[in-house]
Amino acid sequence: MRTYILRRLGYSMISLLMLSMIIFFIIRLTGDPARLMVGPGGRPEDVERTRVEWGLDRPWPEQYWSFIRNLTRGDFGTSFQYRLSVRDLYAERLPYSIQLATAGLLISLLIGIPAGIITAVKVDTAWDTICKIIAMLGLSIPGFFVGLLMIIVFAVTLRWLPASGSGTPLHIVMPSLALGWYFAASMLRLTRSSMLEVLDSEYVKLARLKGVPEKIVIAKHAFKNALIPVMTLAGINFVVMVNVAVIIETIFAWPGIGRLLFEGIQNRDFPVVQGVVILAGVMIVTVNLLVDLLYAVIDPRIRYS
Amino acid sequence: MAVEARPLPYAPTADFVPARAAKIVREIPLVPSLVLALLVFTALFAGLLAPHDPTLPVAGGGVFKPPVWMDGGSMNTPFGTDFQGRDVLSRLLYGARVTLMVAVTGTAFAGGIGMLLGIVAGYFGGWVDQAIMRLTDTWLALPSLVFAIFLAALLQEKINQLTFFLPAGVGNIILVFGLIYWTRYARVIRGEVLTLRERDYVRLAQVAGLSQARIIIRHIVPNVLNTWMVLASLTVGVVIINEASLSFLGLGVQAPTPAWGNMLSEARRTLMAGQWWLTVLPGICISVVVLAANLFGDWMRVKLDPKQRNL
Amino acid sequence: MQWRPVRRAGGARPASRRLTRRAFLAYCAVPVGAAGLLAACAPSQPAAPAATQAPLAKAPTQAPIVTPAPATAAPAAAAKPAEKPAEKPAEKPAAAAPAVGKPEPKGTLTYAWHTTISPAWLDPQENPPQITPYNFAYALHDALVKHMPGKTFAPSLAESYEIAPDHKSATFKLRQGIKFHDGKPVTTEDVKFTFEKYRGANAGILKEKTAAIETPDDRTVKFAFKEPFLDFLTIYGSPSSGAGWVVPKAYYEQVGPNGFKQKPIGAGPYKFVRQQAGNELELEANTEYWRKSPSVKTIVMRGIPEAATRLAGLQTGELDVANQMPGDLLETIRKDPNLRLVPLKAGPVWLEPMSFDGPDSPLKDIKARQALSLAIDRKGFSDAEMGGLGALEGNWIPEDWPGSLKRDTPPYDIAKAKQLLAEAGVANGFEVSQITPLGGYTTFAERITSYLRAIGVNTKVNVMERAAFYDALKPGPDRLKGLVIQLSGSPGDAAARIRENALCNGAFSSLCMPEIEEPMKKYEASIDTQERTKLLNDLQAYLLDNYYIIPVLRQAFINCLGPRIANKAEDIEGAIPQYVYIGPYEDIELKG
Repeated sequence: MRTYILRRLGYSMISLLMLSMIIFFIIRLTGDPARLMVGPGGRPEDVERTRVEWGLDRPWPEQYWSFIRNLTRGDFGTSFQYRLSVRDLYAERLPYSIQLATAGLLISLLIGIPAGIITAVKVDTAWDTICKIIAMLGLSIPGFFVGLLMIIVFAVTLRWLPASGSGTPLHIVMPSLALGWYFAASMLRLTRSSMLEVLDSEYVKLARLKGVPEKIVIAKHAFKNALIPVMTLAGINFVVMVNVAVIIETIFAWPGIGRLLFEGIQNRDFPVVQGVVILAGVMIVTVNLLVDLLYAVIDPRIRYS
Repeated sequence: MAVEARPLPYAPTADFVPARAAKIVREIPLVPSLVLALLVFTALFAGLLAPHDPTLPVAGGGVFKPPVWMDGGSMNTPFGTDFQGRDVLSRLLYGARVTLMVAVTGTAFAGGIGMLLGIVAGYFGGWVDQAIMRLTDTWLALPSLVFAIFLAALLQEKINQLTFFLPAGVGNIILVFGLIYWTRYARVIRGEVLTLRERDYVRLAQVAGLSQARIIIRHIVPNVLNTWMVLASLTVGVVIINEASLSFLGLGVQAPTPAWGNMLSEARRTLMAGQWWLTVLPGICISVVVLAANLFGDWMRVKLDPKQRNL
Repeated sequence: MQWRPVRRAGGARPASRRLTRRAFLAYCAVPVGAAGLLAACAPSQPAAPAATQAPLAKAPTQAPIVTPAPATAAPAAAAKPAEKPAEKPAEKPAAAAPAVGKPEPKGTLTYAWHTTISPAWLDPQENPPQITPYNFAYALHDALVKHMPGKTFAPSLAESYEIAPDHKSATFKLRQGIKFHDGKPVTTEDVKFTFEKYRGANAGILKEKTAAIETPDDRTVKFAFKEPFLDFLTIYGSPSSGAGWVVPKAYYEQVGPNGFKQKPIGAGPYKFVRQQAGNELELEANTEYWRKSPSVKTIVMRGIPEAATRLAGLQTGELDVANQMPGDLLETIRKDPNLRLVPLKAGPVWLEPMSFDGPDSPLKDIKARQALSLAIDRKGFSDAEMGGLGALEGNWIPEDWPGSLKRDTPPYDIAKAKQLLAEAGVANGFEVSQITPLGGYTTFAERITSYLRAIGVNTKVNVMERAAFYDALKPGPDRLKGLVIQLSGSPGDAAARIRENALCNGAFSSLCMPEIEEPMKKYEASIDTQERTKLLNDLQAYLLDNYYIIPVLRQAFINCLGPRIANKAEDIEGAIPQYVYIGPYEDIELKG
C-alpha cells in the first residue's frame, strides 16, 4: 500500500513538473510583456529597462530555473499588472472562487443526486422521463445564456437579486445557479447509471434473495457503492468550477480565479498565468490522487496492477 | 477468430448486414435524428436556402428590425435584423454550417488523437503507457482557456493561412478542441485496450505471429469503436457549447463569419434593450442541436451496451 | 456488424424494489449532510466593504488564505525589506482650523468602471499615454497645474505659475498648508522628486529638455530648460503626462513603486481606503482638501467589463454612475426616466491605408484612397454604433485640441467614389487583403467593410489583439497589409498626435516619410509661434489631403448617471477639457 502511495505521489510530482515546464514556455511564446507593461507609448530604453527589472532578458532556461527555485520557497513571483505578489493575489481571489464553486457544487449535488436516484429506481416511468429532460436541458443550454436570462428576469424585472458583484449571500445565487446548472445534469446522469448498475449487481441480488428489506438494500449496499464514482466526479467538477468559471465570473463581475487567469493571459502577465495554472494543476493532481487512493482502498486489484 | 467463452459486449460479425441495418434504422429515435438531419441539410444548402448574404446589411432593411410576427417586422427578414442590419435568418442558416464543421471536425480530431494515444498506451504498456498517462494528467490540468488564447494569439495567422478554405477562426477552434478533448478518449480507450489485450484471441494472434499493427487494426480497433462512438456522441454537444463560450470571450469563430456562438456574444447586450430575438434565436438553435445530439448519443449508448457506465 | 445488447431494459418491478418515501428522504439526507459539511468548511463570506479605515496592523509575512482584509495585504513578496509601519495613512489631522463649520461628508457613490481596475493607474509616476489613469489621478492625487471645468492649466497645487517669455524657464509657487493624506506637508522636494522619477508618457521629452530644477525657497520650484521649451506647459499641465501629479517622496521611497500602487497616498480630494486588485477600489473623502471638502463620503469604484451588467446595476440602483454605455443600449437608457445619458466627445477613429506604398496596390493612387473616404457613410456609422452621438469631424485630431486644423465632415458620395475608381483604372473595384481594427473594435471593421463593398472594394476582417497590432504597424516583415482602423484615446495636442501617428518612431504610427519628418524637426526647433502654427497646419493638411489618414468620426464616450446624483450632468461630465470621466470629484453631490 505504501509503495502504491509513494508511486502515485512520484507520478504526480512528475506531472506537475511537466505542467510547469509546458506552461512556462508556452506563455512566453505569446509575446513580450514588457511592451504591455510600459504601454504602447514607451521608448525602447524604457522597455529594455523594464525587461531587465523583471528579469525577462535572461535566457529562458535560466528564468525557469530561478522560477522553480522560488517555487520551492513558496514564491510565485510578482504580477506584472497588479504589482502584488501572485500568492497574495491568488489568496485574495481564491476564497471567492471556492465560494462560487461550493455553491455550484451544492446545487449540482442537491439537484443531481436525488433526481438521479429517482430515475434509477423508477426507470422507464414518467419520473424518469421528466428527470431525463431536465438533465438534457442542463447539458444543452449554455450556462452563460442562462446567466444572462437570469439577470434580466431576477435582477432587472423582478428586482429580487443584485445584478453583479459580491458581498452578500444574495449575490451568489445567480452565478452559482448558472454555474451549477450544467454539472447538476451530469451528476444526475452519473448517479442514475451508477445506481442502475449497482442495483443490478450480484451482491444486491444476493441481498434481496436473502430477504433483506429493499430500503436497507438500497441504503446500505447500493447507495454507498453507487456514490463512489459520483463523488469522484464531484471532486473533479469542483476543481473545474474553481478554475474555469471565467464566463460566469465575467457576466456577474465575480472576482474569481477564472477571470484572473483570463486577464493574465491577455495582459501577458506571466507570473499570474504560471501561478494560477500550476496551482490548478496541484488541485487536479491532488484530487486525482485522492480518487485513486480511494479506489485502491476499495478495490485491492488495482493496488497490485 | 471470435471466442464465445468470455462474454464480449459485442462480437463483430459481418453477415446479414442489410437485415440488421434495417432493424437498427427502424429503432433510431425519430426526433433527434430529424433535427440532426435538418442541421446537416441546412449546413450543406445554406447558400441556396438563405434569402440574403449573412455578412452584409440587407439593402433597404433597417437595423434591429424585429421578426415578422411583431410590429415593424417584414417578410423580407422573417427573423429580423441585427445591429448591423444583417438578416438573422440567413445568419442562422450559415451558422449551422460552422456549427456542424466545428462539431464534427473537432470531435473527429480529438477522437483521432485520443484513440491513437489510448491504443498505444494500452497495448504497449510499460513506460510508454506511463508517459502517455502522465501527459494526459498534465494536459488535463492545463485549463482549456490557456490553450485557446495562446493559440489564438500565436498561431492565428498561420492557421488561418493553412485553413484558408475554412472561414476565419474555425481552423483555430478545431485545433484547440482537438488538443483539449483528446485526453478523455485516451484514458477510457486505454482502459478498454488494457482488458482487450488480455483476451484469448489477441494472445492467440500474437502467438500466431501476426504483426502488432495487424492485431491492433483487426482486433483492437473494432472493439474500441463502440466506446469511441459513445464518447464522440458525448463530446459533440460539449464542443458546440464550448464554441459558443469561446466566442463569448472573443476567441472563437471571428466576425464577420456567422456562427451561433458569436451571434450570441455579439448580441448579448441586447437582451436588456429588448431585441430579444438576437439572443434567444441562436440560443435556441444551439440548445436544440445539442439536445438532439445528446439524445441521439444516449440512444446509441443504450443500443451499444446499456451496461456501460456513463462516461 | 451486429451489436447484441446483453441486458434488456424494462420489465416489471418487484414490490420490494419500489422506492418508499422514507427511503428517498434517507438518500437525500446524505448529500445534504455532505453539503452542510462542505459549506461549513468553506471560507466565510468576505466582510462587507469597510466603511471606515481599519488600522494597519503589522501583517504577518506568511499570509494565510484570508478573506480580503481591508488594507492589510502584505507587501510584494519580491522581498521589499520594509515592514509596514503602524502608522495609519490619512488619519484626520488633529484640529485643523478649517474643520470647523464644514458639513460632514456623507453617503456612498458607486461608480462602475468599464474594465478591470489596474493598480498601476493609482501611481501617476508611470502614467501611460492614455486618459484612463487620470480618472484615478483626479480622485486620489493633485497636480501643480491641471485642467478644471472651464479652464485649462488651472493652478491647483500651485498657487500661481509663470512661464518666462523666452520659454527657457517655468516657475511655480506652491500653495501653503497643503498636506498629503498621511498628514505630511506637500513640499518642493516632493515636486522635484515627482518630476525626476517620472517614467510615464512623455518622460523622455520632459527630461531631455530640462537642465535643472531649482528650489530657491520652500514655496518656489523653478524649471530651467536647455533651450526654449514651448510645449512644456502643454505636456506638464495636461493629461499628456503625469509628471505634475505630486507624490510624497518619503513615502514613495519607503514603500517602493509596487507598494505605492497597493496603497497610494496623494494630495487629492479622496484618500485611498482599500482595493481588491482589479475589482473594487474604495476611497474616502479628504476633508482637508484645499479646494473644498467633498460632500460624498465614500466612493466605491467597481470594475465591471460587461456593459449589460453595468446597465442592470444602474436600473436597480446599485450603481450611481456607469461608464461607456455602448450604442445598442442607448434606447433602453433613453426610455428610463431615472437615468441621464451624457455623451462626451472622445477619441477619433480613422482608417489608414497600409498598402499605399506597396508596388502594385491600387491604394498607391490617391484617387483610390479618396474613393475609400467617399464610400464611408459616417452618419450611418454614428447612428448604428453610438446612437447617433458621434462627432463627424474632418480631422483625426479632435477640433477642440490646441493646434488642430478644423475640417468639415468628409462627404459621402458613392457615385463620385466609383468615378474616381474608374479614373484610377480599377472601375470594378479591387481586393484588399485585409482590414485590421484595433483590438476590440471588430464591429467598426465590419461596418467599414460593408461600406467599401458598395463600391466594389472587397476585404476581410482580420482580428488582432492590441499589443500585437501596435507591433505590426511598424516596418518589418510582419507589417500589416491592407487597411487598418486606428483609434486613440490619448490626450495631447496636435503636435503630440502627429508625433504619435505620423512619425517614423511614433508609438502608434505606420508612416515614415521625409515630408513629415522634416517639417516636424523644424517645428521642434522653432520658437516662433506663427511659424509653428503654419508648420502644424501644413502637416495636417498634407496627411489629410493625401488620404494617408482617413478620419471616420469621433467616438462618443457615453456615461450614464443615476437618479441619486444631484448635480447637473454637464457640471460633472464633460466639464473638464480633454477628460471623459466624471469629475471633479469634490464637486459631486448626492441627493438626500
